Amino acid sequence: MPVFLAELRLSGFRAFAEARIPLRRGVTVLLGENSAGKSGVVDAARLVTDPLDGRRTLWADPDDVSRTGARSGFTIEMTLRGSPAELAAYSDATPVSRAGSVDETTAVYTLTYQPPAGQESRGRTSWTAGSGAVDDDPDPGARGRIRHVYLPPLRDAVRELGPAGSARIRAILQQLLDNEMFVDDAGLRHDTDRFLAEVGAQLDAIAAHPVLQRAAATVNEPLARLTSGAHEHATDLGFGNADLSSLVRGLWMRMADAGVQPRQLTESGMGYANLAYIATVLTHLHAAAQADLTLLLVEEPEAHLHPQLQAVLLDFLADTAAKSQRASTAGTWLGRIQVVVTTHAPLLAAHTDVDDIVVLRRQPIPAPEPAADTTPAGPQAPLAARFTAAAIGVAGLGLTGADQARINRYLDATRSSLLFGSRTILVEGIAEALLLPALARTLLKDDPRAWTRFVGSTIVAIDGVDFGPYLRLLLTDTDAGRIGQRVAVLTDTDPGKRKDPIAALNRLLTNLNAAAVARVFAAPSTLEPELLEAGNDAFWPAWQVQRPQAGSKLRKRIDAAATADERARIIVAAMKKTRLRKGDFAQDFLDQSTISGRPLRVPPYIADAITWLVAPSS
Amino acid sequence: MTGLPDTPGAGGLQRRRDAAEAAQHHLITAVAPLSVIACPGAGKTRTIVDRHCATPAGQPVGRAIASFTRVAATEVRRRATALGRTDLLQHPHVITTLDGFFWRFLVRPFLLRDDSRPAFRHIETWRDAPPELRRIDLTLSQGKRARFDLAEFDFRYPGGDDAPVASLPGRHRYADGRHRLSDAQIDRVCRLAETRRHQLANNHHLLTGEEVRKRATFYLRKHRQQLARTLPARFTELVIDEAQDCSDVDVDLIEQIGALGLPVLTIGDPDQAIYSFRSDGTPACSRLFTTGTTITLSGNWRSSTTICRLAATLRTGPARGTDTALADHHDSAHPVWLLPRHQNTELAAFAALADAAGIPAGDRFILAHDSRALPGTTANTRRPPTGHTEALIWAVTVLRRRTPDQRARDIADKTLRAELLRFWFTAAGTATERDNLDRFGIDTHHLTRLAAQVLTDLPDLGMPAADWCTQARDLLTTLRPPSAIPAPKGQLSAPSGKGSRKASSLARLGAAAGTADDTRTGTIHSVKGEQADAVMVLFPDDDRATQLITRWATGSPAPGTEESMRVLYVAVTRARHLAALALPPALIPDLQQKLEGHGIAVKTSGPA
Repeated sequence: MPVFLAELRLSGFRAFAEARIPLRRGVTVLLGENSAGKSGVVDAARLVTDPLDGRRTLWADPDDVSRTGARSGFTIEMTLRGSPAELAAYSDATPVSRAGSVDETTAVYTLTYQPPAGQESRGRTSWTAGSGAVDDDPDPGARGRIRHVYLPPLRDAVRELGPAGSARIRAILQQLLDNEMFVDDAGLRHDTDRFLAEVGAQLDAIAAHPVLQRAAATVNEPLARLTSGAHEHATDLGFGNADLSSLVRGLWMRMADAGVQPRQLTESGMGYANLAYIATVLTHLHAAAQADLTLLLVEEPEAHLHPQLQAVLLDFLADTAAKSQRASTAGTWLGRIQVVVTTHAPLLAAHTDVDDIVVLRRQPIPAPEPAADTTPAGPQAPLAARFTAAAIGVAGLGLTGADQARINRYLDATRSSLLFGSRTILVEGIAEALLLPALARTLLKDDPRAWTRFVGSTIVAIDGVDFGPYLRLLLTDTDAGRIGQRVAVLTDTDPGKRKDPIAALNRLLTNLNAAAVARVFAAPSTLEPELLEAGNDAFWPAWQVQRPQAGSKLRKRIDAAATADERARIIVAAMKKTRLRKGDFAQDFLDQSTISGRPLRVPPYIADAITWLVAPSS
Repeated sequence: MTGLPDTPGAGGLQRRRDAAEAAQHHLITAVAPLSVIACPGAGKTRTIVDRHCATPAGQPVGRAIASFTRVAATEVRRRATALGRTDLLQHPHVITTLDGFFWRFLVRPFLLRDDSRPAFRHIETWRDAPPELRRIDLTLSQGKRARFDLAEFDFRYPGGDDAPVASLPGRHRYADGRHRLSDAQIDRVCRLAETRRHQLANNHHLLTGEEVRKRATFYLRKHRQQLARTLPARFTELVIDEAQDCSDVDVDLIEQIGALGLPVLTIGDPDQAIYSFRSDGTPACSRLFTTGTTITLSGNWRSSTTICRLAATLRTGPARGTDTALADHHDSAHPVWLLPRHQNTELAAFAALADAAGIPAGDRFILAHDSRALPGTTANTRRPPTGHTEALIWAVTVLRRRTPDQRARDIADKTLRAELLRFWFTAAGTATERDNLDRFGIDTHHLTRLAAQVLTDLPDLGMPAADWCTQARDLLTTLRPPSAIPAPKGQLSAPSGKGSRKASSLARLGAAAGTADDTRTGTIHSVKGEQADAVMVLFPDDDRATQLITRWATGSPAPGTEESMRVLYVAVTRARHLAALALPPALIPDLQQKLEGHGIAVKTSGPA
């Protein structure tokens, strides 16, 4: 079993008061709104592992300590899993269970950070390997075998690719020059010496250009005067010693195989610039052969990356990880690669297997119980965070294969933000989805805050009535809570059916122990009759647009009907007979009300659903 | 392989050296499991280092090198640094003591976390345990009591599920008026020490070598299958240096590790096995040297031919012949000197011999089996007094004397640090240094610097104790770390009635040990692994010495003398040029006859 980082456990770190972040062996997509803790998870992984190139840029900082007020420092615990053979180097970190049995497929390291106290200017970090029976790590070198490559949100790839980012291009060059198999079109081998000599000769020629010579002389005249008292300095505008790093710094590189010419990067689209940048980083991954496990941490690849390229990138990363896990390990470093991607775009989530998704979300912290011996609130108290972040891995929900397949297909087709909304309303079809915002605007016109909460809600039209998979996804309870915080189901009673779908839905909610956070709102009949029943004058003009022939006859029958039930049956039958398109009808209905100024009246069950959905969090 | 024929001439020497080097070189690449019998001066550590340094860089699987002393580790560090190969000191390699290896790989992974108790700590000696937890009071009649330190006791783990057994070694048995204690009382305090050890291990989670071995034995049985998967995957081999010092339990553990599939390379000299607690059986390590492939290194780069021959007569193990002297001074003409022991005249005689040979005092050892046989008062150089003020003065004295006894310096250093912490933090006496540093927020290097400054700035110990204590209090108060609370008071003062004495007298160390010059005196155990140009061994005029010399002269094994023979072997093999034995005059003739019978040049000198 190839080694991988199976879990991060964060205590008092950034947005996380206490959280377990499950990670997947191949690709993990960390999904969450802004400030849900995505960067926190990535930075935690960066703190507990070394950068692949050894250049650490992130250090534990007092600001990393979460402001829940209760903690003086933070801890990050990383759990590796793998076969005993793959974990042999980490034997110091094998945990022991209470019963005394050793889990040799697991290694646990804990980083503890205490911010500086008193007059100290530096905080203190310490490591523990294993379950903590001995609070030290006798072999820090073992941890050095777990590395990471970090790709920050790509907002400025041009700068990264430019002179300042020459290290990566240099790595590519060096790799080419070291590669015995690499020959040019003429079949000539280019090693480092030859390359430096040839390029150096050309640079000398450039430096000899009369303009540069003249420029050098111009610089040198005052320089000589300024330094004549001490050592006399002279400068030229040449390229100095042609070593690889200075050459790269001084040259624009071609990367023809990527279809990109970096010399024109400034003119090319940001998307391609970013992709070129990612390509250089991935090339860097060849060094993963010198580690047991390399975490590729990619933050928000959607920033400035074309949607199709996002999908292509994710595929490529998944493929890279899978290949690394199949590679033979005899006598060498394990060379495993694991990918963690953060995103707040539905697209990446939709493109990935739902099992690989870990949903990060903020949840309010219950107000602390005032302890009996509580001391007066210190100066930190006002800063205390009201939210903490939590992580829910979809794989940990225990969904059946059938449920997973349905959700995967649904996400793939709709790119829905199903997994994002803290408030979600599930509806049967597109008609409800189209109508809901307009109805909500009418209903909530005097309550702007409620309207804002509605806007932040997700409407999920499943185009069917099998709500089960979605409800189980959103409402299955875990240690970290549920993905869905408030879920309304808007459905139809469809009278006359033998089975009672509403009762079945309510049973499901009871079984999920979710009655407090989810509710079913059922139309006594179906949507369209209820719109009419609510007194919407737009109904008949809309019907007229859809079915110009049958309108007036139907209206007479409706007017003659005695009860709402009867009216509903007549409309449903007519819809069936005339094959009315529900989506088209909803559009026409909205045209007739909003454009033509007919008042929009909200059917009571929809009003109930919206009102419940947008109720303030308890 | 026995000694090569002693061919005269430089050509012969070169040939012998080539042969010895070839044998050493073979060891660099030979495949473990393997056992190597290496004579004194064979360049054993260097060979291990060479073997290790031949490892290519960037290997994911490492080598474990375990030794009883830190000498091997220091040498590996020095060589690896010189080669620019510091990777050889780091993961995946492990260079540690045998204790450390057992702890890291057989015990630490299996310890259960218990949040109601402190985290486990592996400590090298009980000296590293908190002082207040080490103190044992034995109540005597008439309300008197005798005070002991847990660190004074020897513990021996007999194996299996048995608990380690305490004994009070000679020097501590007789110190400080304890010779008035009856055997029954000593027995009683040993049982108290066992109980205390048990408490410290189980309640305070402090584990020393005995407890580590006990638990290692248990875990090897319980987690055998897991260890068989992980240990051989973690290391290519386990090298055990100084393997002759292995106890029976060590050998059991090592054999079991080998059976797990981790190849073991043991290297040592069974004739130098001197930690068998005076048992007469063959040393435990002989089991290691009789199984599997054995290579013998018999080229001695340290001693002259005469000394090699002398050493050969002391060997008690299976016949190994005489080692081949390879040093430039291999044909040194110095005979073995048998000096009659008489009112310390032998000291002057030895000095005169060494002077004549041009050997400076710093290159001379005067050794004895037991420190009581040594000239001067050396008894307390490894034993700090129990009182806090006395312990501080003792530590300062030992450290200022720059004694070459590294172990005594280590103990003094630990004592100084402990006393400083205790002065600054009243509660420090109940926790280990590491816990204290954590608790009080002091960096370990900061404490090191403070200790060095204290050592420099404390007044001379020649002044009256009361004045010294006053000045010391002021200094320590000035230097206290910012976190020290509250301002210390009354912790450092002369014991009542002793304020007008010289402060130095409170250390009870007497005058600087041994001879007036730089000649090093000490027990044979304390110079293990070292060497000197000239060595003299002192024999007291008592039954044990008589039995030992008789055993040596007659060559027939006698009860109670086998380990003493090996100790003596260690002593004479420290010598490079000149070996002298100072013994009761009556014992000289037999020994002289014996040695001359082996073709060894012997000279005696009459009493001055």
